[in-house]
Amino acid sequence: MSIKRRGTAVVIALIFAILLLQMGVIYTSILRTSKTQTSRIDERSRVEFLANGLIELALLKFRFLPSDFYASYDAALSPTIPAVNRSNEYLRSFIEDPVFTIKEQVEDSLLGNVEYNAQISEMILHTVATGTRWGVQALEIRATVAFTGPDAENVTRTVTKVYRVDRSSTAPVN
Amino acid sequence: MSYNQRHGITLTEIMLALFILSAAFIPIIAVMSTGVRGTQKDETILRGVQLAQKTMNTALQLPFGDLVANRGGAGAGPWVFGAAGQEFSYATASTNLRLGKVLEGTLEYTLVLEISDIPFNFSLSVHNPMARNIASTTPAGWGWQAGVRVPRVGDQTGLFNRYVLTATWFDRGLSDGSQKTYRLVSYKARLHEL
Repeated sequence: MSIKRRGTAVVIALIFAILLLQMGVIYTSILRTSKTQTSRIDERSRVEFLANGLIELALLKFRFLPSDFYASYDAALSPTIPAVNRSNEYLRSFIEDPVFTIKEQVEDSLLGNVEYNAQISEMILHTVATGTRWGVQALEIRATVAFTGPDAENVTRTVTKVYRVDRSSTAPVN
Repeated sequence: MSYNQRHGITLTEIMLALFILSAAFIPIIAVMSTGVRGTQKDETILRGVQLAQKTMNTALQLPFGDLVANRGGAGAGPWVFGAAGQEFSYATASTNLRLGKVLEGTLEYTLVLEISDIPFNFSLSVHNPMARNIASTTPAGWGWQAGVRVPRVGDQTGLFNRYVLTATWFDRGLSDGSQKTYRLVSYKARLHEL
């Protein structure tokens, strides 16, 4: 009996020690995850600030050159033009303007040195049946931001904004 | 009861068990204290990030002309707000922008906003509106010059600005600990001022 009981305390202590070490490992991984989530939240807001600025520049181009935008948009998607005659090339030339590409190098204590590449990827005009009557449409502008994340992974985020536009005056209404 | 049955756990075993448990506790306590320090550090960072985002949002909402006028004149830029010894405060009915030293909780953050002008020139493929009227259903005949980009509105200045907000703070108080920097970049077109 005594031989069987000898060493019980050590065994129990070892089991406890292993459990405690496991708790420690889990706690460390939780800490690491929460840190990643904090930087993800931060990443998102940085991307949005950058993309929103670029979207404003696209809106500015639309305000400067509305007839060119509508012509290129009609050439690509107008239902009054037979599908075989439509061409997307001119709309892409409006959207793929060199000024719509921004490279931004940001260096700080939080994410280190990160290069953000932002560009306008889409400008889509939405027309609803009732809206056409009053010349009211919605202009959807999308900006894509690409950067290398803290774990050296390539991240791409898309930010979309929609503006109400009045085709009779061609001026967007915010 | 025999002699052996009264000796289930010896003093040596108890000592050994205590030693093992203590050895297991030491790294756990170290991890816990690192975690607590990390959480405190994260809190100061999050406060700085939130303050910077709030300030940037406020600055972007305010008309550029108002900001520069309240700083004391236009000039050619770049325009720096809240640099050392140059506190800047501008309030409207709905927003309040404060730059320079800002106390948030027990920490002091220094917020500096730099605005610079970004010249630009829009370009695109031209088309002939007259040809478009004639060949209304065949875009290929609208006089497009594929692959040829031309500037359309000339060089533009004073309509598109780059905003850089830099928040700096010490992670253990007014001037204690290591200095942290957080930088936020955005752009603003002067749509409302056209």
